[in-house]
Amino acid sequence: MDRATTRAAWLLCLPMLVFLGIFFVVPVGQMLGLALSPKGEGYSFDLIITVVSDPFYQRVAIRTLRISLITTVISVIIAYPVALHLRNVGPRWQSAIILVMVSPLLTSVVVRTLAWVVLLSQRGILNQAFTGVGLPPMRMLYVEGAVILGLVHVFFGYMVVSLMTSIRKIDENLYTAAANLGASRWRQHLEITLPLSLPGVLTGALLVFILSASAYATPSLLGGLRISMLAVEVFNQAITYFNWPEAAAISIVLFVVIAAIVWLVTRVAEGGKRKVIFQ
Amino acid sequence: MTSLSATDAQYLRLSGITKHYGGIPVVNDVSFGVTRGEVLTILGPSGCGKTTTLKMIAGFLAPDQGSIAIDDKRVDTLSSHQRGAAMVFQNYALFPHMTVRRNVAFGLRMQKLPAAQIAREVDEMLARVRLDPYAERYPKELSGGQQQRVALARALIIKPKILLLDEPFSSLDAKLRKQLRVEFLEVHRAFGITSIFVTHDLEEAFAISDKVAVMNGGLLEQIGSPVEIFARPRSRFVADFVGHKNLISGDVANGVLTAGALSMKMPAGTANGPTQVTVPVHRVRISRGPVSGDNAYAAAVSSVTFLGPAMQIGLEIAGTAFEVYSPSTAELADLAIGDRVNAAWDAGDVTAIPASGK
Ligand SMILES: Nc1ncnc2c1ncn2[C@@H]1O[C@H](COP(=O)(O)OP(=O)(O)OP(=O)(O)O)[C@@H](O)[C@H]1O
Ligand SMILES: [Mg+2]
Repeated sequence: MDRATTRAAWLLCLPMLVFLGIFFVVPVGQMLGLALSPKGEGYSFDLIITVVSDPFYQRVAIRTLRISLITTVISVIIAYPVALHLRNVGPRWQSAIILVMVSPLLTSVVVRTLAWVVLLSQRGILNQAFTGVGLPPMRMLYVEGAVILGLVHVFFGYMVVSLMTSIRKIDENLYTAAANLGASRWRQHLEITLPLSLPGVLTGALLVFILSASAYATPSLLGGLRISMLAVEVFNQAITYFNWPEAAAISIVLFVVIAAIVWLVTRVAEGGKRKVIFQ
Repeated sequence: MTSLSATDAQYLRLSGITKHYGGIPVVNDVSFGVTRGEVLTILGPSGCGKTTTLKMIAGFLAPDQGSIAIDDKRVDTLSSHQRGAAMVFQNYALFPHMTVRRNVAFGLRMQKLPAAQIAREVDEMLARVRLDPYAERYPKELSGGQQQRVALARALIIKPKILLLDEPFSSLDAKLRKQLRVEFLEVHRAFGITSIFVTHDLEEAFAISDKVAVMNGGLLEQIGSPVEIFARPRSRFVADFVGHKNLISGDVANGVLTAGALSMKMPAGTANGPTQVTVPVHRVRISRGPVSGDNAYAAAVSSVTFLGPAMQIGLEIAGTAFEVYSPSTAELADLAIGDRVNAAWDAGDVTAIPASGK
């Protein structure tokens, strides 16, 4: 790119930069100010240290990471066959399946999650069915499993789309070439699909992980007070207790933890030989 | 087939191969044999069924009718790998996430050979195709020529009986194509492997082939050596496709063809009756002075195009337009439209095109 095009590119980015500057950087800066200087007199890490060393928040943080990780792993596992299958079907089926996969992303999170509440609650449809056949009602709401179920439902569309993008890019001739050299169907997927779809897995996994780790609606509706996550605590502190500095401190901890994980994962992925795959 | 040479002459044998798509035959009753160790090129315009034919030989596609035999053994029901047909793809289809070494090793790894043996054979192969300095590189870190050698090495290491190449150079510029052509021939000479090469480029087909099979609309039009195909086209289509310009229809009587005011001596034994002939563009001798030949005429120059080593000259002979290629000699250097020259060719160079040819 020559200098003029570079400048044009910057100019085109300007509206977005201004928007982000005003509506993202400024509030984040203010939040940082709130957390580091709760009373507006001098800066210190005291509040952040208090949050980090609080056993309650530690439990919530670990639960947040655990739930997000499990959600991500489950999403990868169920999205993979779908994305693979999409290679083998005609273009019309492809669009139909993609539409079905992405449709959860088109409705409100709250509506989708409330549907799960209706299904899973103490007097919900599933438990009515259980008691109807003489089984005792089961606790299916306000447990980690419910939160994970809800998060997978809400976010795994991103996983499918991201996986599919990288799987669809794989040249069909690579499979023919591998078969020609004696690779079975299974071996072809192992040698070609798996390594070449890693960028898609990585992008999708990061997306699902970040979205899960910062999710609010799903954990608060399906996890209730028992299964709280960090974003829920931010909301509680800010809105219920009106403790804005502490809410800000939790947010910053959440932000730093997620940023660190993203940085680490990308570094590991880009390291070594993988560089070639990730261009 | 008792003697070895009889088998070798039909090392690959296609018998009555037919393939339909949507009721339309795209490959129609094609039969030919390929001699062991030679390069055969399937040549023809786009859509004539070249790739389809190659895929059926490779075993990627099953013919509707007909059978294929390699080394005297019918292979119709075998997979491409089992029949020993290795393919070099148009874009090479190298595995982008594997180094050159791993790409070349792929076929041996699939055979589950011991690691030490794989390493030894791969090293040997890399040295033979001069890729050893690039063993640890990835495909996209290689030039087009190096990528081709990786593709060839990857196919050759499984010791296939035949090598199939589908327009391997078609996406490259003219200069690189010529260079890769030479590299392919070098590798072919070193391994002596029977190869089927698909192209729609006439010059490429002539340059690399022992034999050329010309296809048109799913039919095999003619098969023969490049010289045969060029000098003795057996159908109107082949004549046009290989660049013949002087196609003349007339009547033969007593060894002389008459077409309007033009009369021309034919090769001995030409039958009487309506006949179509071609006068090959490169067999016409022209000079400002006298020229000798069975058929000698006075001609008027109607166009001159300088092409470097050769000149493309339009002539008018006895009311008939001709196009000839002549070496750019000093004598013809200042040839201009309207000049009068003498033109001649031998009766033996005139080729009758069988009437069955469309
Ligand atoms: N899978 C298919 N379904 C339907 N028609 C096909 C299919 N594959 C090829 N054809 C048709 O068969 C004919 C021959 O195709 P083929 O690919 O063999 O041509 P080709 O000689 O290799 O041409 P090109 O030089 O353009 O590669 C074409 O008319 C093509 O449209
Ligand atoms: Mg083709």
